Amino acid sequence: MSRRTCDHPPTLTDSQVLEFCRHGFLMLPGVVPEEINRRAFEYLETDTHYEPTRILDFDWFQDQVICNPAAAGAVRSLLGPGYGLPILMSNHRRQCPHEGVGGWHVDGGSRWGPQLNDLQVFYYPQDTPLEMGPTEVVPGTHLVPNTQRAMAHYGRIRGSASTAAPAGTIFLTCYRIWHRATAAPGSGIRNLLKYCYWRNAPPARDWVREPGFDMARANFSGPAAGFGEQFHECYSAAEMFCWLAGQHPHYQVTGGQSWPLPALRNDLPYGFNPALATV
Amino acid sequence: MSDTEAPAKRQSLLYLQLRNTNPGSQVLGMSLFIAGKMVEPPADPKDWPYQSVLAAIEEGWRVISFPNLALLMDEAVPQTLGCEFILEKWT
Repeated sequence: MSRRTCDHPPTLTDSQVLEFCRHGFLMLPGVVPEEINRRAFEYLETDTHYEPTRILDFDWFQDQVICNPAAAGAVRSLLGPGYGLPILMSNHRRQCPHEGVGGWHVDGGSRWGPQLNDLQVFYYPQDTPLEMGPTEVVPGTHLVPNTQRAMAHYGRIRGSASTAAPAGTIFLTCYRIWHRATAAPGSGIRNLLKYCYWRNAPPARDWVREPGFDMARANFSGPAAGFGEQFHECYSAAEMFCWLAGQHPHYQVTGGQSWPLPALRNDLPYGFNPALATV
Repeated sequence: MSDTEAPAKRQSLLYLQLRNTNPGSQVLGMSLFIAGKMVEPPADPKDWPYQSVLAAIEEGWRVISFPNLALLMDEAVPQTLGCEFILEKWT
């Protein structure tokens, strides 16, 4: 079997890649055309299996969803050239109304660290407001190790974010981000397609270069700051950015007020490895 | 049960995950189990019924488990959500 890839150029800038490192997900609202959303929804009426993988056989789905220019450009930015396309499709199909709230979890197979060797991507083929039970995520928690078994009793979490969005929305996630299903008091069918892309090339800073982007002074602080020791999220986001840029060997933390802590300094932060400035 | 016998009390559980080990510190997460069911607190943290462990104690909750300090000793690797207190109430 010859596996395809998408050849769309990278679309994310340095700041947008950093934003992904800090938050662990990226929303692309309404990027799939309405006609494709309708066809996808109609197909899923005929294939209600929780793994409707055959939808990947259709060119219209490959072209407009899997290789959707906005999504493919973002995936290319994060996974590099020649990334692997999904070979498995899952559908979190729900008949609404549905009262139950899903438990917070990380998906099985989560691995913790700065690496990003795959992306878990979701697609809403229909409008998915709060009443239709959109997935809820906790921004920044892709940097906070946890296990399924240890978090099933969690309820509300400060800083959690809904992915409520219009039809045609695709959102990219770091596989290990904490997430859950929410209650759906609305009516009708809610599909949520889920699929993964795979890295095939070593990481490199070959996304859209941003004039003036300064890794020494970039803000690495993130939304899950309160979950651990002070500034831990700065270290983790900076390490992930360096990993994605192919510069992980140059990542270093000397501690104290050194890089990458956010601060209003009058010079380069101590501890910043000059090798990172030349990337 | 006779007509004069009081109904058996049932245990409710309140999990509060705090920013640090101080029971007055900010609540990061909250879950509530009453009469055998999980009760979802309001979405907005400003509307949560308790803003600290101390506030819950004022309302009659009793702490039955304190944060495990052994989980907090590796500052480079945060594990789980903040510092978890577990409280109970019998009603």
